[in-house]
Amino acid sequence: MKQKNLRIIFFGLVLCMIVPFLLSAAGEKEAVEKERAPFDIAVFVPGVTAGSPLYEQMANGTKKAVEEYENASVKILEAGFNQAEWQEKMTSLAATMEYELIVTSNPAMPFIIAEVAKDFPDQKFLNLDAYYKGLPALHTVLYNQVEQAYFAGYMAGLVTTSNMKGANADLKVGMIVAQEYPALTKMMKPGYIKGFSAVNDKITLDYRVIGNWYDATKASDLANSMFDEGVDIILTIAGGAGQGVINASKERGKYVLYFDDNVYHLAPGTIVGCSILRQEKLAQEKIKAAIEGKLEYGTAQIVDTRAGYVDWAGDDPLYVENVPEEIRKKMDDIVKKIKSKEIKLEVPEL
Amino acid sequence: MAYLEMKNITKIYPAREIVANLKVDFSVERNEIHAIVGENGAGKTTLMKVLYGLEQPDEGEIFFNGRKAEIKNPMDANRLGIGMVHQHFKLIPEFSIAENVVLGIEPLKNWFFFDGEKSCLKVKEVAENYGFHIDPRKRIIELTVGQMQLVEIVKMLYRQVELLILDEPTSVLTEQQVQKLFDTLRNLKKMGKTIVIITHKLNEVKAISDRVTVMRKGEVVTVRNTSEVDQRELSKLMVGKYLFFDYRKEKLACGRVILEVKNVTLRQFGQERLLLDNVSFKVHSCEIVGVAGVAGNGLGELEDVLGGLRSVTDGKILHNGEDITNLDALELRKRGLAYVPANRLRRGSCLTSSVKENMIISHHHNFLNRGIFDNKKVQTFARGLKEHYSIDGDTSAPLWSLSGGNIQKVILARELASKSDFIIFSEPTWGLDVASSQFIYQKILEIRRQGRAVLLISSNLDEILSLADTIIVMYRGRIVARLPNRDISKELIGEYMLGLRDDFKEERIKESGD
Amino acid sequence: MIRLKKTSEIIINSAGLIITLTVAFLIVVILILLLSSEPVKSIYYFFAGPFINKYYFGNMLNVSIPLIFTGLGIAVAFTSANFNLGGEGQTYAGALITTVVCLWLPQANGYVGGILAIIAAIIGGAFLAGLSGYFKMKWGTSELISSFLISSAVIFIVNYFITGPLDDPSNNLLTTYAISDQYFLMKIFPPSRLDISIVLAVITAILMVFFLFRTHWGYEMRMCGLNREFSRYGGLNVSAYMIFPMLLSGALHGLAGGISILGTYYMCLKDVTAGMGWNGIAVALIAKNNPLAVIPAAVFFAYIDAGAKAAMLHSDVTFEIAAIVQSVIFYLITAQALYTFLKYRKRTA
Ligand SMILES: Nc1ncnc2c1ncn2[C@@H]1O[C@H](COP(=O)(O)OP(=O)(O)OP(=O)(O)O)[C@@H](O)[C@H]1O
Ligand SMILES: [Mg+2]
Repeated sequence: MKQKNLRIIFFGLVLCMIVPFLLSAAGEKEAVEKERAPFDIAVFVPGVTAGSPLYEQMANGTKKAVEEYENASVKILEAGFNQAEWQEKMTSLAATMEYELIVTSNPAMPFIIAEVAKDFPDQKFLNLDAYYKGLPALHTVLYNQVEQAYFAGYMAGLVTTSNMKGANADLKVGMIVAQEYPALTKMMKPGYIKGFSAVNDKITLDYRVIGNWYDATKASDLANSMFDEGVDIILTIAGGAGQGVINASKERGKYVLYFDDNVYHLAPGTIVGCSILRQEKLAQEKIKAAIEGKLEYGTAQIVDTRAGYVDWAGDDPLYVENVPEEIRKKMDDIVKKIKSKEIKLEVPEL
Repeated sequence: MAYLEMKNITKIYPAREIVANLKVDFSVERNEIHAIVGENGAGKTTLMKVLYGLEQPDEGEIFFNGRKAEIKNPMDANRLGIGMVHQHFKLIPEFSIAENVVLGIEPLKNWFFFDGEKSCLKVKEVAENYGFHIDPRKRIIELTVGQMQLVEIVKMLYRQVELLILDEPTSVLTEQQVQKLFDTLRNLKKMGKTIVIITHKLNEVKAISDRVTVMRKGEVVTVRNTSEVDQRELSKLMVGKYLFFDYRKEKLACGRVILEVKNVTLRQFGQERLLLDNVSFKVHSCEIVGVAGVAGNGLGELEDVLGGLRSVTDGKILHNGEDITNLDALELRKRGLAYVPANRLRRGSCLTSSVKENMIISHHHNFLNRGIFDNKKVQTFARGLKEHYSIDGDTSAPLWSLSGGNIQKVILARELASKSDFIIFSEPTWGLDVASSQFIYQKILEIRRQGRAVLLISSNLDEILSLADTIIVMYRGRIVARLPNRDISKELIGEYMLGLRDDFKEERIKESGD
Repeated sequence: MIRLKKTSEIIINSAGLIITLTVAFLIVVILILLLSSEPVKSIYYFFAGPFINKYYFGNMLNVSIPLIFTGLGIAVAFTSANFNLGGEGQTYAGALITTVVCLWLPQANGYVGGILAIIAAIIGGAFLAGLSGYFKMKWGTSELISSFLISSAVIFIVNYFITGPLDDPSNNLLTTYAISDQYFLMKIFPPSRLDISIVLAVITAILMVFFLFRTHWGYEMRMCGLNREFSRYGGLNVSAYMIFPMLLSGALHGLAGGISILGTYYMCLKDVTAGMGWNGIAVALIAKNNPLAVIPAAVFFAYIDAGAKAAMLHSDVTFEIAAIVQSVIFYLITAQALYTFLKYRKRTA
């Protein structure tokens, strides 16, 4: 027993010995730290960049903007998939006090930022793909995802009523999502419904929730059961799990609509439509504004199709090749009508 | 020039600052049988562990064949041709004899795979070279203690050792097995091997050894030619003075029946042969019933059943007239059962916990104060036992740091502290030195005098003959003799034990005829 | 001279661990030299990061809190030769149960409700682990396997509740509703997340020592763990000690989960307790099952974690590199601890 205790103490001593040694090494480093550029930006990725297009776009846009300025620099920080750790990591990032601006993207982040700002009110934040008002150091930009979803919905309506090979007589369209969150329930789902209802108001929606962003197997099971019930086209908003929907559709000869990114090449002929966001462009512009001191913190902005940040990927060769001309024409019309605000789709209170 | 010389060996166990060996000089001539004797805790095992590379001495040197030897571990020792059979066997029970023997230097097939066939052949060959007949395919659990010992010896011979160390090889053996072992040793000597043997039985020293080294409290007292000393002198050298315990038995009238075993039968699931076959006997107050038998004939099973660790297939066990058949140890202990098991290391004690903790199990409730141990009380109790039984070792030290004999004393002390009217002793003096054995005998007789009942299971016939009032002999799970202990010769009991005589044969035939 | 020997003995005993630590740290340095373009900075933050400000330091201690509880949970089971591999599920269940109780009593007094919620988590964890003990006693199924299987199933069930019935649709994270703020544990080291429960963790460790070495049950439990046959022979209720240690172990895991919610997260996020169970095993191994040693061992784990986080923040170490470096250290140290543990087992067997 005694010996064991001593061992514990010894263990503690080892720790204590390492620490001061390293701290002394730290002193020498201080000089290097001082020469940093005047506008440092941190990109906080709530997840990992690889494989998630919106985050990739955010990172690239930021990098491009930074390249234009001598005095700017960027650091990308990936927080990993465990949501429980995001707040701590964001706080730590703010606590470094090294960055003029922290950029992030995800509708969940404003709430975390609000918590962080309590301790670090001076830290500036830019949050893309989110809507939050009333935090003086935060600027948010929200996409009009009603419009984005409307494109997908309209396309779904056109396909299910068409005589394309995979389409059937049932007036049913599908939607598979990873989880429910306000942007989804208040913008995307209603936009989608409005879209296909505009084609034919008898079309019904088969809507399923996976419960996470990675379970492709479950997603594929859900897709199959929807096809069994007569669905012929599915909009997937499920991150990595979306691959399961694509696989199932390919096997069954059905169709998939994709969100946020242009991914026709993943399954030409199966993916028949992509409602995209131009996050790279947005990021680049916003960062430039920030560096030049023109970003209005404390405000929330909404950007839409007309401004050029929401769009329908209608000129991709794989789209042109696989979608009948008649349908493509109708889609082009709709995009025009939305752009010109002939069809008005307002973003609701989130 | 001596074959082996250990010079000025000092070994201090740092944990408790125990000086186990102090400036010990020890030498062995080529091709002799050299005995080491000494009280429990004298440092015999330690000295041999140093020689075998299991412990590093704090001081001193070892010379082998005149050259200085660095023995850092048993592998080094094996390389020099030194082998050791431990006080407590180190065999893997689930493995076969061959697998145990070749363990560590297995013959390989294709450079990689264990070659089972070849190891069997090789082991058999080695064994037969030395005149042993064993089936290398048998598993260790199927063997008697004597056979296990043989396996340990074969294991060393397989490693081509020239110097064989045996630490208390005889304490677990029956008379016949001891004779056999000695024949083996003499044979090995003839073949040119050198043997060091540790024992507590002075008659064995006389019988087998050429020279004897006497140790006391970590030091060597003397080295003698065996032919020049007698047992009395040896025991005086060991202890430092003449010790004489009076354990002569007085005549006592038997009292009431305390334990009654009625037609107890035990059958192992799926096996034909009964492990206990219709066993019946009674133990009265003021009576010591001795149970003799060769290992494997039901003694162990009888111990298990009475200790509450195994359920009987049939029959009844009564304690003071109350049925206690198939009560488990928990309930028997509540009734005050005290029991010294033959297997002291696995059943009788917990090597990794302290001496104190070993001393209080089964009556630890007495030391509680609202669920919390009263450390003072425990300490006082443990100190008391330590003094009374002259246990050599700190009460808070882990039990494994005690010498073999002292571990046994801890177990005995604990069980003897119980107030029960019935106690089972199984092989109570295995590994004890002469003085301690006699002290224990005295204790057992004291218990008898107090009117309690004792069941003494032992393979040591001297022990049974000098203590028991009634002797029961078991053979193949049956009782073959029930004799009052009056003018019985060892030879007679031996005949019963080997199944050459059976007093109840006719009864049994008659019964099965009915 | 004898004194001297003692110290050297201790050094030898800890030598294995120190060597492993040195090797692990060397590997870390080499990895960073290879993978980072500003290695000096990365290494500095990796090792000294957790100490450069109050915030990191407090967070490090905060991470160690649940690890102390789970480490203790594993250690108590180990001392009685029971293996609880279900820590992940028990902790996660504890977190969910605490959240549910707090949500169910939104208006209750913070102390009363909080204590109720924690007790419920303890009971939940104990029940899950106790099941394995019960199965072992009843049918001799290995608690090692059953606890792992039960835990895996429980994780699914908890996930179902978090993403299904209890999901907060107004929150963009996969999480339940947040508990109300009268339940929040007091922060004791602002601006860090360190809360008052660290005191509870230390007290629990001390209580465990007291329990194991001074009480009747602790004694019986240890004896059953060290030598089952001896305990049976000595009249201990051996089968009870297949269940009881598991109950205790599960209770400590449930407690770890509950405390994480009240002290740090305030809502049951998906995977909120992920890793606490497994790391608890490693912590217990390093601590050689000594309840007091669990505290430094848990802090050490938290230190590695905090170091990786600091390096990610302040240098070009990416999430992947940090993960690799962290696992190198964890595996080496766990392997070393496991090795000594098994060696010890072998000797005592
Ligand atoms: N590993 C150990 N740690 C501490 N003390 C030990 C250790 N091994 C033995 N001892 C102590 O050293 C002394 C000598 O022990 P040793 O085993 O050599 O005695 P022995 O002569 O073989 O006795 P026995 O006849 O009882 O087997 C004893 O007091 C014992 O308690
Ligand atoms: Mg010995």
